[in-house]
Amino acid sequence: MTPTLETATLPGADVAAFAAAVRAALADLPPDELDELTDGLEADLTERAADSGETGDGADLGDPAAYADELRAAAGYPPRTARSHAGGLGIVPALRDVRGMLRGAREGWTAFLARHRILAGLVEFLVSLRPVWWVFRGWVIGIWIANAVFGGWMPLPATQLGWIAMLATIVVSVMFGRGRWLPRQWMRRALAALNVVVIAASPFVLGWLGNQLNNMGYAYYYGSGETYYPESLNLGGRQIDNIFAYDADGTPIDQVQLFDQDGNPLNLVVDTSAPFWGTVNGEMVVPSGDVAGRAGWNVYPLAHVNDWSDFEDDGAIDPTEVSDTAFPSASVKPLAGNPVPSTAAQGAAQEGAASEDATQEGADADPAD
Amino acid sequence: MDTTQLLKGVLDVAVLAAVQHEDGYGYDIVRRLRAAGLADIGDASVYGTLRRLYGAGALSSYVVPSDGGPHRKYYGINDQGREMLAAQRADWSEFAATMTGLLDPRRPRAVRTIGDNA
Repeated sequence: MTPTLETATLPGADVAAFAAAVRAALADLPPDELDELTDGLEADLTERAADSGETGDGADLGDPAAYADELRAAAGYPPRTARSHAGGLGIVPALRDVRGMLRGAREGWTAFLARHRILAGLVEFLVSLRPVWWVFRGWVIGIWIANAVFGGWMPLPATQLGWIAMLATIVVSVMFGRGRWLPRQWMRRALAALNVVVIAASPFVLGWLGNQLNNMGYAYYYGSGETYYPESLNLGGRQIDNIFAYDADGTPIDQVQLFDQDGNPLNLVVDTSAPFWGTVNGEMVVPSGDVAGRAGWNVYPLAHVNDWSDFEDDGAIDPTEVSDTAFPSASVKPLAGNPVPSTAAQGAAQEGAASEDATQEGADADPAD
Repeated sequence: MDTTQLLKGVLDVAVLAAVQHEDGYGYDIVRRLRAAGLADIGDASVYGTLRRLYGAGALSSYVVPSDGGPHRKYYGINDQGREMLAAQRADWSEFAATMTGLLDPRRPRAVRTIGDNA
């Protein structure tokens, strides 16, 4: 024998590692059985490596997991269980394991179905719905293409070309589902991979579809279907910041308490414990202090403060900083049948164009005040 | 045809036949089978089969220390193994003859004997 073969017959590191991996893959067997099965493994492997004329580091020992499976099967032991799955042996044995597990799962499932009639019927029913899946698959891919290529963002294509693309993918999907148009094995594998992608995307697609339909149905609705309730007085979507009352003569009323049809205070804000309310024009209106606990949110017009410095450290309002809010106009037109208020009469008199009647009416109105 | 599938069914009889005249250790038997023409036979399949046949009582086993190298576990056939080999040899001959007749392209009528009551 040449020296080269001598070195090759020594159990190299490869052989030792391979044998260790095989033992690890068989670790679920009873120790005695494991010893019997792998006794002399290194010697056999080393001899094989020498036989094939390769040096220890280049010897093609193959996949230890597959070797272990073969050994186990030939020795008549049941297939390895998931519990004893030996990890960390690289990607190839991992893939092999996955394939083996899938096969095992399929066989187990078939046996399970054979024992459960109702479940088998249900599965049969679901299988009969496969065409629905074919159409769905075609639609998902078709609408994606139609939207990506031809524009649009709706469950149905926006353009004629989009429609053609989507219908074409549905037809192709159905034909694939029927086992047509897939002459090569790798095409079926590619379809299986595509199925996984479509299934993984389905929750998002369905969620998006639901969202789009919702938006179409409630296009003018506020927000995402939730009704919005303003926190303050509103009319036709416009915030009411204050209320100014004038009497029948058109004269401003200094303080008025307002109530609704049920006798509840017509407060400016929902939360009457709020210390202030920011108005549209940037003022901070405050409730009347004439109601206990400064809760007079229904006493109009509401007074206001200018900024945060008007509040004490504890959040209470410094009463000296509260200013009355000016009326938008000093007077308004009196109601029909009521005398013109004195202010209006004076203005008319100064112009010198007022009729005697108007002056007379103004004079008459004075005692009424 | 995938001969590894065919091999699975005849591993027992093949291994028994390989040790019927001379005892051998694991890789030695693999080598004999390959030399006989079963080039695709897997090492592990042979070792597992040896172990199973030993467990079934068809083979005996003994360890031979080798000078310098690791010890060798030798397997030899026993009476029970010989009986098993004889039975399986008969089974194989019958099966092989049937398959040969079935596959023979010159005699298509041989297939028709199934269900032929005449």
